[in-house]
Amino acid sequence: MIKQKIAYLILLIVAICFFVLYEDLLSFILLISLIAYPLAMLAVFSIVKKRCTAAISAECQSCLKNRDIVVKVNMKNRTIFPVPNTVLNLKFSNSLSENSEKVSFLIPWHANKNESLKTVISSKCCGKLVMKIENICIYDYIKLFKFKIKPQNPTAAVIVMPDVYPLDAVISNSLHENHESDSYSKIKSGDDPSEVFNIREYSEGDKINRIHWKLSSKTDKMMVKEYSLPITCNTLIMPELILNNTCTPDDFDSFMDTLASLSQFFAENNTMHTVMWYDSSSNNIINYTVDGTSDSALMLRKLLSSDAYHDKRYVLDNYLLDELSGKYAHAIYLTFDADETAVSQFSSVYPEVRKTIVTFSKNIVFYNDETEIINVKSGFIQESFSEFVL
Amino acid sequence: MKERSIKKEKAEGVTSLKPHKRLGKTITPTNPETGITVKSTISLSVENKKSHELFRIIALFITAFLGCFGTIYGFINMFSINLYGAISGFFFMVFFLFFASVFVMPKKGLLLLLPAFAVYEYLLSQNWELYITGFQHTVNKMFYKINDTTVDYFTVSDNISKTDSVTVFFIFSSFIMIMLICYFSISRNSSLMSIFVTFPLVEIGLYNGFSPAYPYMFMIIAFWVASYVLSNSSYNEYAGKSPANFVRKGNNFYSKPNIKLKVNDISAVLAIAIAIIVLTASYIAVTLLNYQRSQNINDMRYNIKTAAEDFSWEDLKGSLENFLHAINANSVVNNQNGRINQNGNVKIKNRTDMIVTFDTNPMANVYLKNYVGSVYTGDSWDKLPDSTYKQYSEMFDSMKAANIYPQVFDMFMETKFTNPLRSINVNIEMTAKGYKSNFVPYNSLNQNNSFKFSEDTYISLPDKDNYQFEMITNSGFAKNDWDEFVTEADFEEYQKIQSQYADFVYQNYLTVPDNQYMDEIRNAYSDVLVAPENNDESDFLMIMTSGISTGFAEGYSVDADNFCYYINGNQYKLDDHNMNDMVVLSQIKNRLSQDAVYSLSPGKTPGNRDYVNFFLMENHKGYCEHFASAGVILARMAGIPARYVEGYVVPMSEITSNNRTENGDYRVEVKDNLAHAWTEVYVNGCWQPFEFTPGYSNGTTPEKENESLMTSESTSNDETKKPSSSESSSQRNETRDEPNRETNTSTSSTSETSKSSGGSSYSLNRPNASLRNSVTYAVIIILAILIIAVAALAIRRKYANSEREKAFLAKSAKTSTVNAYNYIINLLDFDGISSKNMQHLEFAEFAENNTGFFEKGEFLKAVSIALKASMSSHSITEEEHQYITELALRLAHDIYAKQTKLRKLYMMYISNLI
Repeated sequence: MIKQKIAYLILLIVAICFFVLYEDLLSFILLISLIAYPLAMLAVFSIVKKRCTAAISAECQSCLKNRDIVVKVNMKNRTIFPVPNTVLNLKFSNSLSENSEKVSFLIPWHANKNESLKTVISSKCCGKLVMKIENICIYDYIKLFKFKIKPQNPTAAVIVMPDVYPLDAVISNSLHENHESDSYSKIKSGDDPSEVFNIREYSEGDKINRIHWKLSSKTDKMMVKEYSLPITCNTLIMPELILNNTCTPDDFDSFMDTLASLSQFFAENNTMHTVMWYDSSSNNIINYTVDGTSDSALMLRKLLSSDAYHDKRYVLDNYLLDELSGKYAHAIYLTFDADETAVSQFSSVYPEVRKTIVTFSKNIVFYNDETEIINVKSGFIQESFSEFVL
Repeated sequence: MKERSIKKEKAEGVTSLKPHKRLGKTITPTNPETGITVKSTISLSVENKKSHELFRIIALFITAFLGCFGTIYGFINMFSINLYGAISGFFFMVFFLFFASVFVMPKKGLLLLLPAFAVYEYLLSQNWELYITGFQHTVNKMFYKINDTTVDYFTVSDNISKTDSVTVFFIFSSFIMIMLICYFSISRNSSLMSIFVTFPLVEIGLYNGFSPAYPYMFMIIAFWVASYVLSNSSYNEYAGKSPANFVRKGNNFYSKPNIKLKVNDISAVLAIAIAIIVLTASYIAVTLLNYQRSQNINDMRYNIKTAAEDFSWEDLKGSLENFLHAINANSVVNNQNGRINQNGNVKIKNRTDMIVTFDTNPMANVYLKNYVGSVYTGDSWDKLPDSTYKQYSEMFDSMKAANIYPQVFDMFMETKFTNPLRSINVNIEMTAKGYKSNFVPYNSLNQNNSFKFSEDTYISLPDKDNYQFEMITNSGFAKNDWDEFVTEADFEEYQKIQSQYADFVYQNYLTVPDNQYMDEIRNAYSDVLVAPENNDESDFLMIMTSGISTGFAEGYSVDADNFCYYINGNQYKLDDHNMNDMVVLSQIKNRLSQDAVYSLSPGKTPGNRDYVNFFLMENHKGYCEHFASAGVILARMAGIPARYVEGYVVPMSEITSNNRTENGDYRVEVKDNLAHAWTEVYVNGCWQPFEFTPGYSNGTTPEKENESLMTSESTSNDETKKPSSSESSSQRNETRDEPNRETNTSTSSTSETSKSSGGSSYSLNRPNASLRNSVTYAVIIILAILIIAVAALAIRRKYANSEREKAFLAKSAKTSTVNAYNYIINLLDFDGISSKNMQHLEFAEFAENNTGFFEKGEFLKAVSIALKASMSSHSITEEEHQYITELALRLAHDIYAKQTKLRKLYMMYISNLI
C-alpha cells in the first residue's frame, strides 16, 4: 500500500506541476479531482466498512490428529460496492501448547452477496485449536486507504483428540481387595458372590461351586452362576498442565496421548477412575470421574478445552492440601518434568496410597522409594507401560 | 441457506511454485514448531451468484471504449480536424468491437489478429497515398493550431480531397490505436502501458495549450483510473501461468484475476463512475465559482518555463537556483538568452521587472544591455565558442592587464577633452528575482574596478539585485575634466588594444550561415547592402539629420559645420568609411521598415525554416527580435560587424517629471513590455547600439501593452500589408514557388566557405532538399520503426535467455528447482497442454499420458521434486536439481523441434521460451 501512496503523491505533484504549467481550466479541474477522488473513496468505503461482516466457523467440533479441519469464513457485504482487495488474516492457535500459525488471504469481496472462504488445516498435536479472525481489512479501489472490519464472530474452536495407545499393563487386584464397592461392572463378570452377574450353561473349566443346582434341575441342563465384578473408584489421575520452556509440541502431545491411553486402559478394564486437573481459564480444580470409554472421551474433550499454565503446580498443590485425595488407593501424577521437590512432596503425603509419577523429562528423573516413577519417552508410550501393574 | 458454488469462482487452488516476487521472505507452509499445517486447498464460493461472464465482458468493454473513444476523438476535437464522422465512426466501432472481442477471448482468439493484419496491410498499401496525404493534412492542421499561423508545414497536393485523406488516415491510425488500447486494458490489465499509449496523444495538445473538450478528457481520465484499479486489484504476475486460482507463498494466499473476475471488473466500472462524478462535480464547482487563475500562479508558470528554457548542464547550480527562484519568487525577468524562436506571440503581463533610478534626466533612451548573441544558428543567437576566444587569448590577456575591455571602448573617444560631459548615477533594483547577470547601460564607468568583464560581451557586478552605475553622457549641460575618468596613459593603451580588437571583430562578427536561406536574403536585399556610388557628404548629412532613418539608439546630434556627428556625447568625424557604413545601415533600416510590419503576434517560425529568412521572405511580421536579428544578418552581409543584444530599454518618454521622487531623482518602473532586443554595430572602433526595429526612434518605444501590431513611422498599420517593392515581391514569389520547400524536415550539413564580406563562415545543419519527399520520409520512419522493433525483440530475447539462465543457476537450489519447473509448465502451456484446473500431480500424470514428451514416471518425479522444493522444509539435492533442469532443457528442445517455422519464431522471439 505504501507503493500506491507514493504513486499517488507523485501523481499529486505531477498534477500540481500540470496546474502551474498549463493555463487551461482543465489543469485545475484535474488537480481538485485528484484531491477529491480519494475523499470520495474514503466516503464510499467508510460506508462499505460499516456494512461488511465476517464470521468464522469450523465444520466439526472435534477431530483426530492430522485429520483435515475445514475452516469456513462467512463474509457478507451488504453494499453495492464490491471490494477487489480484501486481506483476511486468520490465526490458528493451540490453547494448550500455546503455539499459533497465521495465514493471510488476499481475496475479492463480492457486493451484496454472502461469500464464504474455506480453507483446510490440520494439527499434528492434540489440544483445543482456536481459529480466530485476527483482522480483516478492505482497501479502496486505488488502495490508498485501509479499513478494518469488525468480525461478527471472530473465533471458533476444534478439539483435536489425542491418540490412544493400547497399554500392555496389568490392573492390580489389591486395589479391589482393600476397598468395598456398591457398584458392579455391567459388562464383565467377577468373583464377588454377593452379586450375580449372569447365569449361563456350563462350559468346561467352570468351577463346581458355581453350578446353580436348582436351575439345573429345572432346565435339565447344567447351569452355572457368574458373579459380578465390583467396580471401585480407587485410582486418581492427575495431569499437571504446566508448561515450561523446554516443552515442545511433541512432548505435550505425548503427555496427552499418555493420559488418554491411561484413562482408556482403566475404562476398558472397568476401573472407575478420577481425573483431576486445573482449568486456568476458570481457576478451578476439576475432578472428572470416568466410568467407561465414552466417559473417557468426554473427559478428554473437557480437559483439552482447558488452558495450560506456567506459574505453579496447581494439581499437586491441591492433592497435597485436599484430604479427600487420600481416599484413592492409587494416585498417578502426570507431569512434564518431575523435579526433586515435586517428587518428594508427592511422596510425603498419604503413606497408605500407592503413588506413581508419569513424567516426560528428557534429563534426570529423581527416584524415590515411596513412589514409582515412569519416564515416558516421546513415541514410546506403550513400551513405557509394558507389564506395568497399575 | 442454500449455497451454490460457481465453478470458476470456487477455485480449488493449489500453491503456485513460482517464487513470490512481492514478498521478500520465505515462510515454510507447515510450521514444525506449531504442528499446525495450513493446506493449500482454498475455495471461495458466493451465494446465489449467477454467471458473471457477460458482466465481465461489458465492464471490460466499457473501460476499453472510454480509452479508445476519449483518446481518438479527443485528439480530433483538440485540433478541430475535419473528417467524415459517420464513416470514421463506423470503422471505429468495427475496430473496437473486433479488438475488444479478440482480447476478451481466450488465447486462441488472438489468431484472428493475423488475418486482420494481413487485410490491414493490404488495404493500407492500396490507400498509401491517401494515408500519407491525410497525415500531412493532419500535421498541417496541428501546425496551424499550435503556431497560430496559416503557413503549411507540408505542401500537400490539391488533387486529393482533404477530408477524404484525413478520414482514411484516421481510419488506419485508429486501427492501431484501438488495438493497443484494447490489448493493454483488456488483455494485459496494465495501467502503466494504458497510460503510455493514450497520454502522448493528449499531451501533444496539452503541451501547446490545447485540451480536448471536457467530456473526452473525462473519459480518458476515467479510463486511466479504471486501468489503475484493474491492475491493482489482482495478482497479475501469475495470470495464465499456473493452474491454481490462488498463489501461495508461505502462509500468504493471493487470489488471481480469474477468481476475481466480476469483482474486479465491476470495481473498475464503479471507479469510472466515481471518477466521472468527481470530475463533473469539480467542473461544475469551478464553473459556478467562476474560478480564475491567480496572477501569482501565472507568474510562477512563466518563471518555471523560463527556468526550464535556461537550463544548462554546464551551469547546473545556476539552473537549479533558477528553478527554486521560479517557484519561490513572484517573477523572474524575461530571459530569452538568444533563443529567438521561443514565442510565436509576445504576451505582455505588465509586470515590473526592475526599478531604475536616475539622479539626472539622461534626455535619451537608456539601453540596459544584458545578453549578447554573436553566432546565428537559424533559430537562436549563441555566444562565440570558447575556442574562438582561445585563439585570441593574448589579446584578451593584454586587455585584462590594462583593465580595458571592448565593453568600455566607448569611453575612450577622441573628443574626450573638448566635449562637454556629465555623469549620471543610475541605480537598478531588480524586482524580479533569480537573475544571474546584470543589466548595464552603455558608457558606464568602471568605478573601483567593480566590473567583471566576460570576454568582449558582458559586464557583471557582484550584486545582482541592486546595483549602481555612473553613466557618462553628453547632455550639453556642464563640462567636466576628462582626466577625472581616463588618463593619457590609459588612452594610449586603449588605442593599442582597440587596433588588435578590430581584427578580432572583423574576423568573427561578419559571419552568416552559408546556406540557401542566406543566399535568398542576400539576393533580395542586395540593393541595400552597398552605399550608392554617387553618395556625397550632403546626402549623408541629410540622412543623419532626418531623425527617422538613423538607427543609433542613444542620443545623437549632428554638427554639420564641423562635419561630424555625436552619439551619446561621443564625437564621430565623418570619413569615407564610416559614412558608407552609416548610409548602408540607414538603407537597411529603411528597407526593413518597408518590408515588414511590427507585430507582437507574428506566429512561430516553423521548425524547418530559418528564422530570419521566414521573417524577411515570407511572414513579414515580427517584433524586436525579428528586426534585430534581420538587422544583424543584413549588416554583416554588408560587411559591417554587428551582433544581437537583449536587455531593456528605458525610453526617454518614461523619464519625466511625473516620475521624480522627493529628492529629485527620476524613478522608472521598468515593466516587462520594455524588454527589448536590438543590434550592436561596430563603428568608429566601438560597439554602438543600433535600432532596426520600427518605432524605436529616439525617446519612444512602441506601445506594446496596448497594441499587438505596430508599424514603423513610415509604414501603414496594416498587418497584412505586403511590401511595395516589386523586387522584394518577386523574391518572395520565387521563394514560394520553390518545390518542397515547406516539407523539408531533415537536415544536411553545408560546406564551410568564406564569405565575400571578409568574415569566415561556419557550417550549419540545415534541411536537404533531396529528402523533402514526404513519402520517402514516411518510408524511412517505418523502416526505422521496423529496425527498432527487430532490435527490441532481439534484445528482449537475449535478456529473457539471460534471466532464465540466472533463474536456473539461482543460489538457492529450491528456487532454481522451482524456476525450472515453472519453465516446464510454460513450455507445456505453449504446446497447448494447460495445467489449468488440475492439481500438480494430476497434471503430471495427464502430461505423461498425453504428450509423448515424458517416459512413465519421469514428469511425476519432477513434479514431486518441485513440490518438495516449494512446500517442504527438506533441502533439494544437487541430483534432484540437475534432474529437473535437464528435463526442462530437453523438453524445450523437443517442443521447439516439434513446432512449425512460424511457431518456432514465435517461441523464440515472442514467447521467449528458447
